[in-house]
Amino acid sequence: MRKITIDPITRLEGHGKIEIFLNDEGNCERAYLQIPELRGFEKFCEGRPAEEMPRITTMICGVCPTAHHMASTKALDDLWKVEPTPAAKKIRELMYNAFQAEDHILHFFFLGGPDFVVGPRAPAGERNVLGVIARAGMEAGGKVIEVRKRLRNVLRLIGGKPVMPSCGLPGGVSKGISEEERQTIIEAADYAVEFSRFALGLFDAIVLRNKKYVDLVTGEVYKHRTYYMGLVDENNRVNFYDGDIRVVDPKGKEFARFKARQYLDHIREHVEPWTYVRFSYLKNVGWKGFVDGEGSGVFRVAPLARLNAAEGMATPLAQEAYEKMYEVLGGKPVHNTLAFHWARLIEALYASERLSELARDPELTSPEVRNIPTQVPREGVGVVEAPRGTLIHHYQTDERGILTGVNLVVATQNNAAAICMSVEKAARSLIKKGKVPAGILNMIEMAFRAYDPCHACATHSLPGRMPLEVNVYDAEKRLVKRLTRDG
Amino acid sequence: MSTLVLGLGNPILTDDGVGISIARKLKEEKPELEVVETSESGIALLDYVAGCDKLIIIDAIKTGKGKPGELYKLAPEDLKPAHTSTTHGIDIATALEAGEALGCIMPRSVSIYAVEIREDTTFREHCTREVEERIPFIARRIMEEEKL
Repeated sequence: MRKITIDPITRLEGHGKIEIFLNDEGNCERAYLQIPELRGFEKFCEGRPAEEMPRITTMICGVCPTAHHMASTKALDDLWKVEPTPAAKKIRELMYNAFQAEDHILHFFFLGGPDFVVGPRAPAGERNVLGVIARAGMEAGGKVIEVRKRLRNVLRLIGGKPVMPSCGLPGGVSKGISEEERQTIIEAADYAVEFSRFALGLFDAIVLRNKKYVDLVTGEVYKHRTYYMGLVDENNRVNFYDGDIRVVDPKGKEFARFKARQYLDHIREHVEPWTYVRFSYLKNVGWKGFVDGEGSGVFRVAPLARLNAAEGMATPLAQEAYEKMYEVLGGKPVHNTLAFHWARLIEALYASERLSELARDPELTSPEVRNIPTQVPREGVGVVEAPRGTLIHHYQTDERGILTGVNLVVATQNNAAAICMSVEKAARSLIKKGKVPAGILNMIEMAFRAYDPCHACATHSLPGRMPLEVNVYDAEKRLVKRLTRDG
Repeated sequence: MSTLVLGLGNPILTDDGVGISIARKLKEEKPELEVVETSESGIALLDYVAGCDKLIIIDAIKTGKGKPGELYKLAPEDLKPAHTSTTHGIDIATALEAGEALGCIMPRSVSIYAVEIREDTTFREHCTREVEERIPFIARRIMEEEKL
């Protein structure tokens, strides 16, 4: 058996690559972000019974299995034209909010937060969760672990497992909730509400009271004036589980509002020769390239986009936090990419409050948790708001429910064009006259970390993180600089 | 002393699931072993490992320098990057260190086994033949090495 030491660049092949092309003046002309494409999912699914999809799709990625499970379950409702019972809907929404709260909290403290809590210019070796614990204190660290534990317990109670749930069925869920379980969920929800308030307080103390950070958040480097998309309820409030898909234009005016089933009338995919990634854009505006503005069909999804696409939050504390964010950042919509972090914490508070509301709902413990499907299946579409944005599952079957077609529009694909634009903008602002500053890697990473892009499919195998490489080419397309995480 | 075998990977992504296949083989050979399969990474692994004395992690790796099916043994520090920023998730070494820092009871002994793989971008329920054929052998090697 060979003893080896893993150099972070050893797994670079085909993974996380940014190619920067300079012009004759040595300034950035174009920048491309390339990520690996997983192949054959549609083929893998075809010929299988559609009811297997909520369990298969949880295996697409280890980061958002609950989002895939829920979008898939809702696609099955639509496929068999069966409405879940009121209790089943509440159980699903409750589980989904527990998942959102846990995911958002995890991102802030472990992934996106270190840039702020530890500092964007702090030594790279400290800019991680250990640095967060060192700055925010052991007590904060202990609270993070506790809130995760409690929320994952809620997921386990309902979904069977804390990850990869298996409870979703067309027309409902596989089991109800007991009174004893309700008490556990109430305690977890109340803890999560308090924790989310604490997290927003921390953001306030560390980021908002530091002019340098506020300047960074509101600066031009990370700003794009795009369209925004998100699910809203009947009052145009953010909803993660259900509702209409609403799109607002760069000025914040409603541009479209539609049901999941109509998604093909509104969303199209653009393909580029240099990547397998499909770039979503608004069909009724059109693809005009990697540019922002009202004339470009590029739109954004995920926390800030959802808040921009809605008119408010459906719970009181989250609404208060929502109003404060727009007041501080100068009104709606907010185009600053780094504000995604703030929006994520506001959503964590909303998810926790909604969890608390649903946990106390008298109907939650009803044994009526499923309507049995009776229709012949043909076609079904389901949508949810994944932590990383709008997620759509679309299935076609024969009359036995055997899959003949599968199409998934995943959140990161919806943000893919904007992520490329953010990377390019960061590169343009940082590379001047051929000079590539040392800190460019983190500045570029900050640009796409805000979106929390889900490239986790590429991080399963060791060393457990997606390596990143930046290649800079001169006007003659000669490689002039290669930067890696250790570069 | 409690021992936990953690099989990591995606069981429907060709060779990416080799760690899970080996963990299943170990369970088959030694049913009393505590074996957990997961596609999670980073900090989520703390939920499984906190509290056990001895931890054995089995995962896939793609160095491109070895033969598919080749087995490597690593220590957590071998995986620790000098630069820890990441797009999604943290490495195992940082997760274990974070567990210590947060006062969790962490395993006293950690062994990490990595199997060189060839294909991890295509959805398929089985490993490629060259990796699949090595699974029984690798399981035996780990049992010998860890005295299971």
